[in-house]
Amino acid sequence: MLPIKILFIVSFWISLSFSQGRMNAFGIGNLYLNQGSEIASSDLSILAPSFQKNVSLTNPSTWHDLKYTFLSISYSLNQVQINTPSNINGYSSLSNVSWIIPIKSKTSFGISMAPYSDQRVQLTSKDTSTFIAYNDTLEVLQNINRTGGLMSFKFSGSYKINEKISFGSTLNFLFGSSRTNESILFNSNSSIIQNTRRSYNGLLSQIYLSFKLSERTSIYGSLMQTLKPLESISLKKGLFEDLNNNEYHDFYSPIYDFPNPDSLNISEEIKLKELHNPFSYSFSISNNLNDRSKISLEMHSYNELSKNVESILLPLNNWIDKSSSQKISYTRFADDLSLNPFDKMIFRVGFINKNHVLEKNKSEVSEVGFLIGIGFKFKPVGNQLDFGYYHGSRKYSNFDGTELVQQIQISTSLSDLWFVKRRQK
Amino acid sequence: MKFFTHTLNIGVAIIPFFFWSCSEEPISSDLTHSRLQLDTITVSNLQFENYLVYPNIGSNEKLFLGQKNNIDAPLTFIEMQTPYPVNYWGYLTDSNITVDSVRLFVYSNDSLLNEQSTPNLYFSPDSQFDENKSTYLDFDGFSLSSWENLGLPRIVKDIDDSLNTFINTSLVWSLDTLINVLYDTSDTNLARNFGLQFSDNSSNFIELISEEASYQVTDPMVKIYYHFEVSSADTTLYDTSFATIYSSKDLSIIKPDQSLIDSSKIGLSNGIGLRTRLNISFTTETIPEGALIKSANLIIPVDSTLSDSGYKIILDPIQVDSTFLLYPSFIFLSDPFISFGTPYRISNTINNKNYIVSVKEYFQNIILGNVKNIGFKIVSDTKNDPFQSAWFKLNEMGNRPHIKIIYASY
Repeated sequence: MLPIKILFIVSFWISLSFSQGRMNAFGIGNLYLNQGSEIASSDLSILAPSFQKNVSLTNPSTWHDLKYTFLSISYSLNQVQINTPSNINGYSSLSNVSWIIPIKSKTSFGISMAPYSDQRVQLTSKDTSTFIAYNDTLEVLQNINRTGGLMSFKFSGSYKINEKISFGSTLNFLFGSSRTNESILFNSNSSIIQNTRRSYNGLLSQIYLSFKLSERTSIYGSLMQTLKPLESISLKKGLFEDLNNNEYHDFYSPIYDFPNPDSLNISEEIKLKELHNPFSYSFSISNNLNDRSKISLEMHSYNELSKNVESILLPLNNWIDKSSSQKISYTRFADDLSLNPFDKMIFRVGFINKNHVLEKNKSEVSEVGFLIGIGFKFKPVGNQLDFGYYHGSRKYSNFDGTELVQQIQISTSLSDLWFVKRRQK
Repeated sequence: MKFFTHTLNIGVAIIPFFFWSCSEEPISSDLTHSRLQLDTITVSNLQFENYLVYPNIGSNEKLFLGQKNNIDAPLTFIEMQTPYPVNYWGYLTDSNITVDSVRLFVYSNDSLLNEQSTPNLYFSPDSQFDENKSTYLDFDGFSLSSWENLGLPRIVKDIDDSLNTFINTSLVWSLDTLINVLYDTSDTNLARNFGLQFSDNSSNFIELISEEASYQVTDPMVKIYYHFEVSSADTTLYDTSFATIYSSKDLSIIKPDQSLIDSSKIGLSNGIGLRTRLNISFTTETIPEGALIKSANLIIPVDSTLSDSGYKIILDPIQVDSTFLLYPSFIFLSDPFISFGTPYRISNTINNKNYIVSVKEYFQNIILGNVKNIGFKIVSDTKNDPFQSAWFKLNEMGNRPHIKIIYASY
């Protein structure tokens, strides 16, 4: 119970921190792919094993090497600090829940749910501007406030063809909703608000390959393509004047907002297609330095093929068109046979370099970061508690200053032996 | 089992996270690309047209007699109510009490009123007028000669003794001769109508207080003064008291000389029955679809040399236009335009230069498709002095009537 208590206490305090960054304001939001590690029980690499000696929880083609069924839950705390203008934001949320069932070391099946993109962002115009109308000067401040995001529900499986080659595949159902408020605040008094609600759905697929070149060296690859581009049902509500600035279209405030909600007709629903159509591929090579240590290199490339992203309001009027990343990571695994508590620990270190190209003006976002992680194995079945800390520095070619990105991941993975007929006592 | 126990423990451990929602500090950025934009539009295609309605000033807070500004108020009627639950009129024939006197009180704010400038009172037991509909047309050739003439009133100045200030003037008529008439159980349609009229074609002009002005305090009223016997074994005492009966309706008949109206001018007057129809070229296509009106002010320049200051004007969108039924009439028995009233009805007083009202609510509902724009009627507030008027100045270069609209569109 001790690790659980520690988790409770740590999560209690860390959940007090909060965040958002400019990345949330691009396109359909900040893909979780682009913020630190996906789960605490892996290092920065997605394909190369880092959970256990031959297993990566983010690479299904390695899952059949798990000895037990695993339930893994990760919680992520993210903070983004913008230097110019000075601004610190943060948020915390569940970052992954996976349930993986290996079957006879030959095949595996797993389901997982994780955030896919974070759309939460609150933008305000740099300065109060003046709108001169009929000799009157109105001081106006524009705001864009977007909340919500996309979730991903994955069905994954793997199949080991022989001792050297195994395949994995994933069907990734995207769903979620968001709410966008565009507003103009007048003289710090009342504001006019446009409210749009969207619900999303889409389907992606990903295939994985693991190939053991030698006892020490393996290569991994993955290819992601879109089966059904992300589409959205947009419910565009009528403009209203928010007289008490509570962002709701009130029937009663002391006085109702304008116009009276009863006077509005049914909101218009619009179907928008192909909002997100990603294509990506990754390649990784890992080398066992010794029985417990591994170093891996990974490259990732991402392309947004959709040409219809702009049909929704983009808070920063841009989206990521291309991304590429290079990662190097080192993992020291636990010694399952040792009784020394120190040997039960897993250490992870990784470095990453990312580069994003935005569609409009082809401006760039570059990020360098590092991750250090630690895991602890407990109980004979290999339950695992993992912590990871990511620190990155993000630069925008068309914005001044830098963004400091920090992420803390906490993950627990519980295992049990399934599909074994136990002898009755 | 342990697997599920651990799962439960983990679940308990992460509960705190769900109770902390994130808060965000806004990031300042260039938002010129925002689709929500402000804009303005001026609507200056406004057409004004006068029309006349035979005047009825039943809602006015004053009663009038005399001539002023080419408007004649020849008659004023007052009808007394039958009080409920106690019908005090029955006191007049009640054998248990003795009626000492019956008086009719009508009040005026004029401290200079004297007996020479007061009207005669007439009585008729029949109903003679409809407070909200009767006009001078109903009294063409009408005469009070068949009514019972009760003569001139006694004038009483009501003074606040403590402050020694004038409160009002009471015109008091004796109704003692009507005691047997005012309560006639055989007359089922007894109306107790009183008429006020100057005895000759005098140039007097007086203003009295209507029952619309207050609740009972200065209403025209009848007071029945009486005493009754309070007996005990060895003594006989008399107690005095009075019962008050208030008017149920009153009306001054107004007869303007409508032939004197300058048809080249657009104006308003309750006494003349002069009203204005306004057509504004504003449709759902005037501003972008889905736009929200931040402000929409109608500005009509006022001819301050002809208009009375503080004149209150009502702008009310027309819901039903029945003028086609009455065409080509220019003078109507009743207003041919049925208006929306609340919440679109708006009013304001004129200032030295303009009459300004907000038409935001109505225009927004035109955009939303909830109402159709078939024009407005502009009328004088019923509480305005019917002998006063307001006139618009429509053709002044650089200052024509217009509507300034500020809107947001998406």
